[in-house]
Amino acid sequence: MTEDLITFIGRFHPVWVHLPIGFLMIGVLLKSYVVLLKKQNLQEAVNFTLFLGAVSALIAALLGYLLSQSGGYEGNLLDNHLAAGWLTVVLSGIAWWVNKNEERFSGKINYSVLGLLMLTLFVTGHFGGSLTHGEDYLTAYAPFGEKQEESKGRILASVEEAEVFTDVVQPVLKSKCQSCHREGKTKGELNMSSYESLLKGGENGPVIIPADAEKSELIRRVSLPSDHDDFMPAEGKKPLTEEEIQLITWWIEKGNADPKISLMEADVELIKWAKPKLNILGAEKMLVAAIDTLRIMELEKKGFRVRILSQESGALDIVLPEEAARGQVSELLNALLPIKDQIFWLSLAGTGIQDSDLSLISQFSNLHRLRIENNPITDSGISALKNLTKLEVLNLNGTMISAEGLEFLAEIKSLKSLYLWNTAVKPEDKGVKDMALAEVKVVFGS
Amino acid sequence: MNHHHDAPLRSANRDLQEIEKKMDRRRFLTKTSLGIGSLALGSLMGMEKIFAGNPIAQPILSDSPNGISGLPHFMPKAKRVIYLFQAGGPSQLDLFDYKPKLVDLHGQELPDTVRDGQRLTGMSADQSSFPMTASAFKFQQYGQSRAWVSELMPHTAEIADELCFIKSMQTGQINHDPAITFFQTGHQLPGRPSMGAWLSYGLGSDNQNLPSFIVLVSKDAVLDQPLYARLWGNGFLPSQHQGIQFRSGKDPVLYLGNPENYEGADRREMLDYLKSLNEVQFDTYGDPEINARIAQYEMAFRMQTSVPEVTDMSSEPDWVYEMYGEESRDPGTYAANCLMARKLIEKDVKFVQLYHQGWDQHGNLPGSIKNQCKKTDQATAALIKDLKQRGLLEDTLVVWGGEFGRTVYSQGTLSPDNYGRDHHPRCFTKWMCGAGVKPGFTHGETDEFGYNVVKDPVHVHDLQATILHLFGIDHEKLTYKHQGRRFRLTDVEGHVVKGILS
Repeated sequence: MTEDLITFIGRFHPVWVHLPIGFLMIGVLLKSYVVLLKKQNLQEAVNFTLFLGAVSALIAALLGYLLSQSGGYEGNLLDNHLAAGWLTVVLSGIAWWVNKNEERFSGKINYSVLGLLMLTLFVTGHFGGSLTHGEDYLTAYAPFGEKQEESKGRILASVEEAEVFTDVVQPVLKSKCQSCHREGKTKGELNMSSYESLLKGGENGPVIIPADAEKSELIRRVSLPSDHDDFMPAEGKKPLTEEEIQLITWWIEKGNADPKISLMEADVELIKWAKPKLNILGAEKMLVAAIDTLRIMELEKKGFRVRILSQESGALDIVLPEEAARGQVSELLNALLPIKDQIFWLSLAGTGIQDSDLSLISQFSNLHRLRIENNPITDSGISALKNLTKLEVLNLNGTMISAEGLEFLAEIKSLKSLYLWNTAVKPEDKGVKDMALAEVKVVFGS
Repeated sequence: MNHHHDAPLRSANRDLQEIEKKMDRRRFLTKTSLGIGSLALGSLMGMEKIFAGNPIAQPILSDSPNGISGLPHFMPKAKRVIYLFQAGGPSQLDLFDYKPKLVDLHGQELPDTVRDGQRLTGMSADQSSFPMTASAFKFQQYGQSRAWVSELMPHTAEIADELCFIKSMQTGQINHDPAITFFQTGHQLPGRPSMGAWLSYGLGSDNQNLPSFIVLVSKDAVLDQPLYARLWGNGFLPSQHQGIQFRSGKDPVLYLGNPENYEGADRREMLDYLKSLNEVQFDTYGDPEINARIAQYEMAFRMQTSVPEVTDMSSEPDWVYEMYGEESRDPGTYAANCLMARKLIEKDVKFVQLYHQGWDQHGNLPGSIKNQCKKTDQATAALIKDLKQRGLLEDTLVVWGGEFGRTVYSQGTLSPDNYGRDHHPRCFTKWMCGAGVKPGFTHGETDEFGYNVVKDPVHVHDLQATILHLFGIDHEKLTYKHQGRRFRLTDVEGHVVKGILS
């Protein structure tokens, strides 16, 4: 009963602390008013507010002490907050005393005490805030410093490498549970920040019983109706999703709460759900560095149409419309050299490019689709294209390519579609048949 | 709001300076006569900024060609789409969904177990008999894919190996307007943006000189069920994303030409000044529709040159007209619109929407579907072939289909050579072709009565999610906040149909 009472009274601490903060700050502001504008008649008010500040700080500190006794808080942060809190109480008392008897003290002493008081007040407040909201609460969204991507964990080479606990369960616990159950703030004496401490459990015993999800307190608490007293996360914090609960249940049940068990052991649906949350290198990562908007605008000014193929890849689709070429296509193409790695799709249809331009294009090593139809291009120019080892689609409609030019193209192993409408190449040419054998789709007119 | 003329609005033109002075007077009168009223209005506008349209949080896109930032979410397959909408509900049972067993069952009552208590339309609900009706047309298998196509579509049959049939389409709507609205906007009630507007909003334009969403409506169709401009409307998206209808005849886009006796010499100057006026207004009120208006004036200006160019058919050789059919020489027909669609796609217009009405064959189906097919089959197939030989099918998606299917039972009396079919939302056939979909492929299956889907149902929202997916868009992430909630094309549903992706 007394314990409950202590907790009940202690919980007034977070609301009460705002009183001394307000009083003391007003006191100091008033004092500067008195000093700077020489309003000596207001010194009484300074004394009065500082007195209120000191008394309310004492009460706040007592309430805070009670709250710390009710459990759930521990560690360095709490000790610091406690010490700074008491120091604030003492300093505010001194500040009041010094001001009440200000004729006995020099201005220097008086101002130093008030300055020190403010400093201590801020430090105490900051420690207190970190205790309730978490240590990175204030700085997480600051414009300076490295931002931590919360949802993604360590970098993996593939999904096969993922461990259920480290890569999936741990991030869920971090975002949904650890604001209260962690080093420094162990509500219910439960610390979920490491596997060992999680398994140790809290004041009511273990929260996880390997191979028995049903008996595991953790699963019971998160699965309760959200208005139940025991429901976790408490106090209206964001609850776990259906999939998150399913995954943790699976891990405890079938995975025997093994910290090293691979994600691949889980059900397909769970793997599918978890995969996008993993920090896997490759597929969804940047293929090339994104180029900045200014450069895109420069190219557009020259007449190119620049389209970002996907924000994640940095890949670009570039079109030079016929009417923008104006017989200057060679000079214009030079403008693409600085972004040659970013060009994945390129269309220069009908722009008047010639054989000599193709050697420049052959430097665009990431090209996947190339449209150079309706241009005076011959076999000798085509030879340069064999360096494009990623090329999948090549449109040579209306060019002067002949069967000989096909030999060069046969070297592009990545090629999937080849367009040869309105060229001298005939469907019965040997090169075309070889292409078909290599599973390249060759399209003529219909 | 009284900083109106602190803005850089000092024209060097004497006439315009006069107008500025007059505006001062008008502004003064507005202020004094409305007084507190205008204050209240101002705060209301402010409220709207905070709560309703939230124009500040939305990216402001007056002239951004690249859509909203963050898109595409992943590498796209498709760059453009042609949607050949066959309005009215083409009969899948007479075109693509071959049901040989119906020949035996012809004339027999549809078993209640198949209908399973489904609600019927008011048009056939009071029929005493629901005789199952085999198609009057012969079916045959075509191409390496051995796809079944009826004799009504001989040209489409030729390109069967290019097509990806979805035989298990389903919708929740049984009447034309809600069903078309559902297909085009993701919701059966009017007011949401249509698919082309979403794509224009999300991905921007690839050709600054033409709208990214263009609509062509056949003039040679049977006009049985009406179409409304809101089917290509922008809904709550900024209005520069609405579809622009190109018409047949002298003025493909209305009001684009200069008025008589005006050569347009100082149009640029006029537009620049108008733009600066509008920008002042935007600074004051922050209404994104002001930016939309600026964008539309600029677009209209560019279209004065680009539209006559792209609608000029004189450079098309004769063999093209032979390929699309002779009607393609007559602007505004379905065939001519197919040809126009190809020309627009060549110019990198993102979304070309065709509508062909007249598929609503409640009665006299055999006769009228034959005419429908005659007007559309050749041009549809020609479009696919033409896109293919030009290499455009690589990054262009073509979608063919209507808003629902038609019933297996005859509406009205079944006679030896005549029948009708009512609306049927439970199953129908669509096909897609080109960028990112499997060629020569059939997805989904219906039962032997052609009444219910038995395998791989594809809902309208699934199709929409799939089309967005082909454009590199996660359909759950392309949203727009309006009236306090976020909306998306697929509402709260939709799954990408992975089975048809190549």
